[in-house]
Formats: sequence, structure tokens, C-alpha cells
Amino acid sequence: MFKVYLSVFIVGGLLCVIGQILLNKTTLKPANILVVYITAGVILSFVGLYEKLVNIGYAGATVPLSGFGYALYKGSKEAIINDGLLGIFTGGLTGTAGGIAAAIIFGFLVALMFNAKTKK
Amino acid sequence: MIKNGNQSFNFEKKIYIADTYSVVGPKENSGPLSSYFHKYFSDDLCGKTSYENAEQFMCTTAAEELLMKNNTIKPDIYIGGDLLNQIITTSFTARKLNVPYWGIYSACSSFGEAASVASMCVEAGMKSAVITASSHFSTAERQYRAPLELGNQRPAWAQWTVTGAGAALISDTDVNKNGVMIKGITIGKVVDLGVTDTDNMSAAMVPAAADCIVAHFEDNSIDESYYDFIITGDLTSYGGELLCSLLEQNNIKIKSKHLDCGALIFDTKNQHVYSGGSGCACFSTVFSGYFYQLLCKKAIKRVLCIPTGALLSPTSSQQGESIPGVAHAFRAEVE
Amino acid sequence: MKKISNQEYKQLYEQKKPKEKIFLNCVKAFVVGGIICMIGQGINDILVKVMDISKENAASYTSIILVFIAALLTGLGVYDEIGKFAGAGSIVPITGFANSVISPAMEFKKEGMIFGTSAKIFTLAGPVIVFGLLSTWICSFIYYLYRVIAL
Repeated sequence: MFKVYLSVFIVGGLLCVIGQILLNKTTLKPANILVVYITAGVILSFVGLYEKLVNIGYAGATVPLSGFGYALYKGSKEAIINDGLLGIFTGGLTGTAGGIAAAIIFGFLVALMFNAKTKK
Repeated sequence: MIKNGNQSFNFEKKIYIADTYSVVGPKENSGPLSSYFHKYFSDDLCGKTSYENAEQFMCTTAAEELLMKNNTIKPDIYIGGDLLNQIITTSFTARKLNVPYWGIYSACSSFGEAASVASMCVEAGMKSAVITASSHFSTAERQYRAPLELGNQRPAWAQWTVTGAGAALISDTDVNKNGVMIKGITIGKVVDLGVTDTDNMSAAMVPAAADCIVAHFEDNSIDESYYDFIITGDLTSYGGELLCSLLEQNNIKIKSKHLDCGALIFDTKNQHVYSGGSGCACFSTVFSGYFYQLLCKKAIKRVLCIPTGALLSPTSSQQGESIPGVAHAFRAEVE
Repeated sequence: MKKISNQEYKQLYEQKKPKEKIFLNCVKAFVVGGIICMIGQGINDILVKVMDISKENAASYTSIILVFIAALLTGLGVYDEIGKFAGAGSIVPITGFANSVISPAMEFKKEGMIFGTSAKIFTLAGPVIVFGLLSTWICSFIYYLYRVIAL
């Protein structure tokens, strides 16, 4: 149990450190970094490496946005196995539907309830 | 108006900065210059429903309070600028003021441009002109950068847009017997040395400021010893160092005389503002709040004011264009 | 002013630029990012072990719950404070994605529900979904071809 959480912490932390180095050392803005992570997640899942990282880091690898890419590709792969060609189109969003729908719905509701405040 | 050299003009009439008024938000008011500002709002929404409305309210307050204080003067023209698309803050302020209006834009150097145009108007025969320049952190942030609630991190050389508005009354009569005059102006050229990082405005604006200072000294055949202080708009202390070293290459040493409003308005060590302040209001509030009072007290007698502006738009920088800078200088002096 | 080339000027300002505390920033990103992932793991474990939800569904529920927490913290104005401290530590996790959806939705509320909130909701996160889907599509297409040929 303790060992699982330790590896979650280390893998998740290290993935964020890579993002921080990109943020400080390059001209990438936060939105660019999210794009880099999701794309990297998809490609690493395609070559089979991300699966290994998930087996080591659990949520440490699935919670970062690269894990979202992993879920996209995994969903797509499963759909191809079940539905063939159609799966290329339907699988990705099926795998990530929960997260995306939650972001839209909670985003809209929160925007109705709260106002943006000036940064401190 | 007498032309000196290539781009400097000195005035024959006595053109006074008869009075000023500055309005700031809560963050500026907790900075080192808080006691100098005329008015502050403890809520940067000013009780309005949007930050754009709040900025207009601040700008209107600055202009109206200034005119109320000097109610013997009826200005011939209102000239001003701000950062928002189609300069809505200034134009919507003009809607309230009922004074003939010219809107100008040169980003954060708007106050310098407005002061130059206003003093030329007075030189040409108008009795008086009211000028403003305003900006608001939250409106600038949404237009140029990111939503307020986005959990992003900006680099150490980024700047914090000043919330507030500064107004001044340029007139041919010195109604308050302050004796502060605009003696001359140097109209700046647009200079671009290829800076593309939109967080590095200081570096984008420094070449324009340096160019304007060199031109000013050459045109008027004077050097830095003529002035008590040389005040730039929003270069921050990092940009100030850069400016000094760029000027040293031109054999001008202003290090001991250089002050920057972006470095003065915030306590950069203890307030979270990255490298310092920026925005139209940065120069306009610090000049009309702090330096104008020093000039009135004759604590300083001759200053060269050079507000600096970065002439980018979100579109131009997304298309990969570098950031052009501009700076407009005016000489504020007391006798 | 004496001519100075863009290269020379770049050298000059790069040398004067205030230094970023990269090591400290990385430590903060590591700790906060790690903690967010541990919270994710905790939610997942509770769902699987206590509430007896299947592993696949638990993963989706975890995302949804993390997004909800991020939405609430964004609304309360806490998430941007975390981001100021943690940098990539709170950008990279899915909570950062949620924050990039919710913050423009809140920001453009004044422009109305349709042209403001709804239209701007994906200004930052839209590219993420586009690139995610695009790369998935390409990779899955290759995988599909491989399956067709191999079987």
C-alpha cells in the first residue's frame, strides 16, 4: 500500500517536473504544455511504453494529461478490436468521455455560480 | 513651436501642467507610493459588474475630479488613450465628459503622446486640454494573456499591469500657481530589435526609449547633466539596467539619474508582481501622483519623462511578429 | 542611436534578464503534482475497494471527481493560487486541464451564456482535444492497418 502511493507520488511528480522544465526553459505556455502532454501520451501508448509506466506509477501516470492520451488510445484500440474501422473514430472519445463531459458540465455550472476575481 | 534637430520641438508659449489627478486600485495603494495618489479603490471592481466598467469608472473619476478641482477652466479638448481594443475606456469616458475628444493610442506610452498632443494644441491657441491614460490588470489580462482563474505561472521577467488612471490638465494659465511647465517634446520612432517573447516587454521597449533619449540629447545639444531625473514608463529595474547599458554604448551615462515608474510603483520584493509594473496607468499615475507633487514642491526641477509602449496585439504576436516599441518624451520643468 | 544588431541585443538582454529559480520551481511542481496524483490514487482505491466498482469505470469516475474538485477550486479562486505556487505541478494533471476549461468559461461570463461562456469554454482546452484526437486517429489507423495485414 505504502509502496504503491510512493511510486504514484514519484511518477506523477516527475511527469510534472518535465512540464516545469518545459515551462521555464522554453517559450511554451501552459496551453502548449497540455497539448504536448496529450500528444506524447498517445504516441507513447501506441509504442507500448505508457502501459509500462502505468504499471509502475498507477494514478501517477494516469492523472497527468499524458494519461488522458493513454485513455484516448486505449479506448480507440479496444474499439478497433470490437468494431473494426469504425473504432478509429469512436473509440478515443468513448475512453475519455467522462472527463471531457465533466469538464464541460462542471465548467458551465461553475461559471454560472462564480465570478472571476483578480489575481492576488 | 520651434523644431530642434530631427524630432524634437520646443514651445514658445508657457504651457503649464496646471493640475493632475491619480486614481489607483488596491494593489497599487499597498505599494510604496500609496501616500501620493489622490484616490484609491479598495475593490478593483469599483462596485461595477465588469472590469471594463471598473476601468472606465476609474478613468472617468480621474478626469471628473480633476475638472471639479479646477472648475474655473473649461477644457477645449479631451485627449487620452488606454490599452483596450478600440480604446473603449477613453472613448466611454469622453461620453461622460461632454468635452470635444481625440482618442490616441501608443500602448503604455499613451500618456506621453497625449501630453505631447495636448501641449501642441495649447501652443497652437487652445486654452486648455485634459488628458488621461488608464489601464486595469484584469481587463489587460483577458485581452492580452490568460483568464484570471487560470493557474498559470509567468516568468520572473514578466510584468504586472497597473490598475488605475492618471489625468492632467494642460493649460496656458497656471491656475494653481504650481509653475510646472512642458518645455518641449521629442516624438519617438518605432524601434524593433526582434524581441518576440510577449512576457519580455521590457526588452521590447528599451531600444525605443534609448533611441528617443539619444535623439532628445542630440536635437537639443544637451546631455544628462541638464536633468535632475530621467523617468521612463514601465521598463522595471531589469529594463532600466538594459537601458543604461544600451545608452552607455552611445556615451550617455544616466544610471544615477534614471528612475522607472514600473520599478517605483510596486515593492517588487514583497508584492507578487514579477519584475514590476506596466500598463498605461503605470506612468500616468506615478507621474500625476508622485512626480508632479515633487515638481510642485520644487524638490526636483527638470525631468525628462519618457513613457514607453509595446505596440503589439495578440494577433500580431500569435502570427510570430516581433514586438515594436515606441517612446515619447516630454520635458517637465519648474523655474 | 548607434546601430545594434538583433543578435547583439538578444545577447545583452538575455544576460540581464532576471534569473528564474528553476530548481525551486521543479521541487514545488514535483511535490504538488505528486500529491494530486496520490489524491487520484486514493479516490480510485476507495472506488474499487470500498464501493466495489469495476476498474475501468473507477478510472472514469476518478477523472470526473478530480475534474469536479478542480472546477470547485477554480470557482472559489483557489486554483490560480495553487498554480502560482506549483506551476506545472498543477497544470499537467487532469485538474489543470479542467482549470483550462473552466477559467475561460468564467472569464467571459459577461459576454453572455452563448457567445461568452459556451463559445469560449474551449479556447484553451480545444487544442488539447484536437491534438489528442488527431494523434489518436493517426496511431489507431496504423494499428488498424497492422491488424488487417497481420490477421
